[in-house]
Amino acid sequence: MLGTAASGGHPVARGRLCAKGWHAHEVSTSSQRLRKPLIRRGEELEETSWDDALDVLAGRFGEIKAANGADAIGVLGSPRATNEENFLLSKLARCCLGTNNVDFSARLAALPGLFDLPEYRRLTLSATCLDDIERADLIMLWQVDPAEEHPAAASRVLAAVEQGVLVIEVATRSGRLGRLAGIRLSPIPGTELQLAAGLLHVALAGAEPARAEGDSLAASVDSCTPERTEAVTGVPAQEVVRAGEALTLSERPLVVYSRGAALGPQGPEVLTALSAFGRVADDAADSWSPMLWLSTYCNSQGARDMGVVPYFLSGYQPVSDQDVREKFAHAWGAPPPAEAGLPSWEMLGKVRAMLVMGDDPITAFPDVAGAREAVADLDFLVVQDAFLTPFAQAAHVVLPSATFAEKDGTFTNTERRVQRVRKAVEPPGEARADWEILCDISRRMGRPMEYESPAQVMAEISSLTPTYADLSYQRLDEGWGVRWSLDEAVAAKQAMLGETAADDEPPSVEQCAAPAVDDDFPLILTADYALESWAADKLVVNAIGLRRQQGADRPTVLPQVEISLREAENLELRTGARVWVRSRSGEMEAAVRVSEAVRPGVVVLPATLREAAAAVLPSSSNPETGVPMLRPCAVRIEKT
Amino acid sequence: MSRPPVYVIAKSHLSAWVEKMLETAQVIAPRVAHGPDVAYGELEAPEQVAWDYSSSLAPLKRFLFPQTDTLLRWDKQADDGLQLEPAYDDTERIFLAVRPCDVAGVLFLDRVFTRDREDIYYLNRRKRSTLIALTCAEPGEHCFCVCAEAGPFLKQGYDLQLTRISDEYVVEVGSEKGAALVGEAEDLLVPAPEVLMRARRELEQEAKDRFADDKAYFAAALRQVTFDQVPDHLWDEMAERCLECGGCSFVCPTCTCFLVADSEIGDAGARERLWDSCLYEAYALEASGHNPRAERRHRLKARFFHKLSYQFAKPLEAHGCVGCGRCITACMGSNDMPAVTARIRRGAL
Amino acid sequence: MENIYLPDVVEIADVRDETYDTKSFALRFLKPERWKTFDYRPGQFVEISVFGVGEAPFCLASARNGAEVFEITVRRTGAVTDVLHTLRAGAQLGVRGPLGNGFPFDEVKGRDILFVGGGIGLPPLRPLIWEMLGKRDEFGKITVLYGARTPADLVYKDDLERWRSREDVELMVTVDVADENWTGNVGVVGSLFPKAAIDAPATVAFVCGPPIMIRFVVTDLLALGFADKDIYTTLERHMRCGVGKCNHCLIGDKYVCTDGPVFSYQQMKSMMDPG
Repeated sequence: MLGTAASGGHPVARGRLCAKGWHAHEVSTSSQRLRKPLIRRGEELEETSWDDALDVLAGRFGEIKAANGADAIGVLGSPRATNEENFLLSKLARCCLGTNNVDFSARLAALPGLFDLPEYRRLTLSATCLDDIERADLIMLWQVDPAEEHPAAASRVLAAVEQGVLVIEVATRSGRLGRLAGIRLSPIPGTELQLAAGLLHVALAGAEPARAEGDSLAASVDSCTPERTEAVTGVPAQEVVRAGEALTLSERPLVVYSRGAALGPQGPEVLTALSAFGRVADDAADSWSPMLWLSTYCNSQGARDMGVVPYFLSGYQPVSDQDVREKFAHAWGAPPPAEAGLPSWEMLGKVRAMLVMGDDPITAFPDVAGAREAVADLDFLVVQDAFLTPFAQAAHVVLPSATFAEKDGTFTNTERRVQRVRKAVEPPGEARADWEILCDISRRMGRPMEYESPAQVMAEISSLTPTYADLSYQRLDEGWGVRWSLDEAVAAKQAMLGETAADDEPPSVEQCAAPAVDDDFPLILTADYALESWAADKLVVNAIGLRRQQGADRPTVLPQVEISLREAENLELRTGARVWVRSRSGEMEAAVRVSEAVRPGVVVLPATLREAAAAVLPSSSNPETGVPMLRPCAVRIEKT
Repeated sequence: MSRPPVYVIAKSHLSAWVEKMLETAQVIAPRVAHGPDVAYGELEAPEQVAWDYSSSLAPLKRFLFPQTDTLLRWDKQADDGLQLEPAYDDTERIFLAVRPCDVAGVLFLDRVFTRDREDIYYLNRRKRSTLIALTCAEPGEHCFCVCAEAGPFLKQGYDLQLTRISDEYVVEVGSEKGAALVGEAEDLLVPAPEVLMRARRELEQEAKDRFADDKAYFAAALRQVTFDQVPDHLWDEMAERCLECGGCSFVCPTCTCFLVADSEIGDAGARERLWDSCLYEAYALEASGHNPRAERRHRLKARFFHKLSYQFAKPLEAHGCVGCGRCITACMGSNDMPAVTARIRRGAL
Repeated sequence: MENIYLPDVVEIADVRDETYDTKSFALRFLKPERWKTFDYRPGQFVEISVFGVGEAPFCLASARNGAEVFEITVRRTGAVTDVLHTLRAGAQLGVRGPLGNGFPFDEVKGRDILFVGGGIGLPPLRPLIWEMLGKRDEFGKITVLYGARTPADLVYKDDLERWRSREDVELMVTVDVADENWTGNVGVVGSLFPKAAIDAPATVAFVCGPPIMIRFVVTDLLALGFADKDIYTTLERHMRCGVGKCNHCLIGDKYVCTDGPVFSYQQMKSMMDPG
C-alpha cells in the first residue's frame, strides 16, 4: 500500500479528492494499527489470543443477558464500516442477543436522513445527487461549511459560483465559502427556525397564489414578516427580503444542509421548515429535489439503510410491523423483538454491557463528561476498531479490525450510491474484517451466522431489503455502483404512515431558542460543529500528513474560542489573549481568536472542545425528541 | 550516434516485443483500470497495454518517487547495536507508451533530484528505468504541452520514441539503452524507410497544429511572478477558490515536496518520505508555532513562484509545468495552471 | 553515490542542564574515524535523529575540539525534543551533517566583531566566538552582547564566566526581567548598544535569536550606521530533509538548509517570500 490516486471516471470524484482522500491509504499503512486482541487485566489492556478474547466476550454477554435480560445490552454500529458489516451487526443484536438496542452514535447528527424519526413525516425526500449542486440556479448553505464538512460538495459549489450562481449562506459563523456568497445571513444563535420562517414568508408571498397545499404553511408563517424576523433573529429585514425573493424567482433552488442544522436546539423543526422550501419550488422545474443532505462519514447513509436504528430493520422496515418481523424471522431463524430499542444517547446510562463496532460515542455526544462516566460504569464493553481510540481504551475487550482497503464490501454515500470496496492488502497482524469478527462472536454465543464472503451477505440483504433488491456485486462492479431508488421507500413509508404530504402540520415558529442576554451576560456562546471538526478524528490523527495539516500536533494549552472584530475592539482583545468565559452556570478559561467570520455578539466554540466548556455550555435535550444537544447560552468575556 | 537510427515495427508485432520486455524487466504501461480510467500500471500481459489511450490518471513519478517511500529501516533489538539499513529499490523498469509530457516530467525530476546534491533513492530507480515515449497526434481534453514546450513530440530525453503511422509504429532511438532494447528485438523491427520518416515529420507538424497553443500563456505569468508584480488581491481571490486538497501537488509530474516521518512497531522501525502539498496550512509551520505562510494566499503565491519563476526555472532548466492538464481535473476549486496564468496575464479573475 | 538521508550513529557522551527547558548534549560518533571527516564551520547545523520519533535540525553549538565530541543545545518544543530531553549518556541517536553554509570567517578578518545573541540565539554564535578568540589577533575589537528573558533563561553560564574574565573580549549580559539576585543590566539586548562602544563602519555584526528580537536589533544596528552586508543572522524555517530536496524551508527561491541558514541582511532584503 503506497498511496492513493483519484479516479477520473467516477461520477462523484471526477478526478478530485479532498486532503483526506489523498491520504486515505494511511489508515492501512499506519504503524498505530491494532494488531492483536486486547483484554483488560486490572488497570491495563494486555494482548491476548482471539480464542481467549472471544471466549471471555461470549461468556460475559451470556451472563449479563441471563441476569438482566437482553435489553441490558446495547450495540453500536459504524458509519465507517461496510453495509454488510452493519447488517450483520443488526442481525447479531436482534437474533443472537435478542435486543433492538441497535444504533450508531453519529446518527445523532444524521437525524434528518430519510425517515429516521417517524414523527417527522414531512421530511422531504432527498432525491438529489451531488451534481445537482451544479444544476441549481440558487444554492442556500444552511449552517454548513462544505469546505470543512464535505469538500466534494464544496468543489461543486465553487464551480457553481464560477458560473455566476447565487449562493446564500446562513451561518452564525461564516464558513470557508462565505466570502463567495452573494447573500450572507447571520442569525442570532437559537433563532434559525424564525429565520427560516421569515424566508418562507417572503418566498410564499411571491409564489403562485392559491396553492391548497401551501395554505397551512403560509398560515403558519403569516406573522413572520421581515420586520418581525429582523427583531427576533437580528438579520436585517431587507436581507431577508432579498433572500426570500431570490428563492421565489429560482427554478432550481438547492438547500444544502448537514449536522449543523440537525444539532441546533430546534433541529427537527428547522429541518421541517427547510423541507418547506422544497414546496416553494414545487411548481418550478419538474423532478427537481431541493434538499441535499451532506453526510459526514463514508457510510452514514448505509448504516441507516442497514437498520442500525433502534426501530427499523434494513430498508426502513419498522420492527413494530408484524409482517416485517416474520419476514426476517424466516430468513434469520429468530424474530427481532417487537418493541423499539434505545437510541444511542439513551443506551449509555441504561444498559450494562455494550458491543461497539468502530464507533465512538464520546466524540459524538454533546455531554462528553457524562458519556465518559456512563462508559466507565459499564459492566462490560467490547470495542472493535482498527485503532486504539481514546474510547477503545475504556473497553474490557478490544478486537483489532480491518480497514476499507483490507476487505470486500459496500458503502452507501450521501446520494444513496451503493459502491464496492475491494480487498487490496491483508490487514496487519491478526486484525480481521468486522464481518468475520461478528460471525465469530455469533458462533461463540450459540447462534452461528455462516457466510463465505461479503457478497453472500449482500445477497441476503438484497433478499430482505426492497430498496437494495437486485444489488449483486456483479451489478455493482459494472459501473460506478448503483443509486438505490426512492420509490420503493416512499411507497413503504406512506403505507406505514397512512398519510399524504398534504396533511402535514407545519411546526410552530413562535418559540425561539435564543438565550436571554442582559448586561451581565451580553454575549451568546454557541458550539460550531464544522470548526476544526476533523482534528481528533482517527483517520486524521493516524495519517502523518493530515495530523500536521489539521493541527492535531499543535500544542494546545487552552481551548480556543472565536470572537468578532466588534467584541475584540470593545474588550481590547487580540488573537491569543487569555480570557474567562462566564455563563450563568459556570466558567472556563480560553484563548481568543479574532475572526471576521463571527457574527457580532456571538462567541463561537468549536464543538470538538465542548468537554472543556462543559461548565459554561451545559448540554440539554430537545424537549420533543429527547435528542441531546448543546444549547447556546448567554456569557460574558473577561480578560484574565 | 551520428544520426539517431529510426526503426519501424508493425502493430501486429507489438505484443511479441512487449513479451520480450516482460522477460527482462517490470513493464509499466497505460492500462485500463475501470471504465474510462486509464493509468500507468504494472503489466502482466502484452494485451493489457491501452495503446490508444488519451492520458494516464497519474504521472510516472509514482514509480520513481512513490507517495510512500521507505528510506531506512532499523531494529533496536539487533545484537550489534543500532543498525541502519537503507531501503533501495533495485527493480528494473521499462516504462512503455508514456506520453511525451510525462517523459518531460521525468526529465524535470532528474534535474530536481540531481541539483546541488544527488538523491540516491530517486536516481537508483531512475538509472534502472527505460523510457519509451508514445507521441500524440491528438490533444486530450486538457492538454497544453505545446505551451509548456513538453510535447506532443520530444526531441530528446527518451530512450525510444514511438509514433503511430496507421498500422506501423516508427521507433526513434534516443539512447544506448533504447538501442539495446531495439537490438534485442531485431526480428521484429526494421530500419524505417525515408517515406515513413517523412510521414512522421509531417504528422508532428499536424499534431502541433491540433494542439492549442493558447491555453496557457506562460510568458506574461513568468515575468510577473518573477518580479513579484502580481497584485496581492488577485492571490487572495484565487485563494478563496482553493480547498487545500493538495491534489495539484499530487497529480503534477513536476511537484516533489515531501515530509519525512519515522514510525515504529516494537523495536523495528522505518523512516519514510511521504508526498506533501505546499498548499496545506501546516506546510511551513515551525516547531515554535510560528507559521510564515499562515495565509492561504501566501501559500498559493509561493506555489506558483516555485513553478513559474525564473529563479527556479534557471537552475532547473525549465519551469515546473509540462502541460499535462492533470491539475485542471484534480483541482477542487479553480486554480489550475492555465486558469492561474490567464488571471495573472489579465490582472483579474 | 552518497546517501544524503542516511545518518551516522552517535552516542550521547554527556548531558548538561542549561536552563529549566534547555539542555546541551555532547555527542560522539560510534565510528571514531567519522570525526575526521566531520569538518564543520560555525553556523552550520546537523539533523539529529531520535529514531522512531523523527529528526530535527540543531545548530552546531561548540567549536571543534580535541575531545572529538560536538555539542547541540536543545530547547523542549515538540515531539523530538521532548524525547531527547529524557535521554542520558550512552543513548544512541543519528546525525546527518554538517549542513548549511556557515558564518563568514576569513572574509571578516581585520574587522571589529559584534555578537548579539537573544535567549536560544547564543548557541549558533558560541562556536564562532570561540574560533575567533582562538585566532584573536586576526580580528579587531570583539564584543558579545547577550540577553534573555530572565536570569533563569541564560544559557552557557560557564562560557559567560570565561568570556567575562577575559581581557580580549567585552561581554555584556542583560535580562528583560530581573530576579532578586540579579545585579546586572536589565532591558532588551538592544539597550546595551549605547554602553558598548561600537564603531559601526568598522564592525561586522552576527545576530541570533527569536525573529522579533532580530527585527528590532537589525533596526537598531542600521540606525547606528551598519551596512546591510555587514549584518549576519541565521534564519529558521520548518526543515525536514535538511538537504535542499523537500522544499519546506524555502524562502522565495532560497533554501534555508542549503543557501543558509546564515544570511546577510542584504540578502534577506531581497528574499521574496509572501509571508
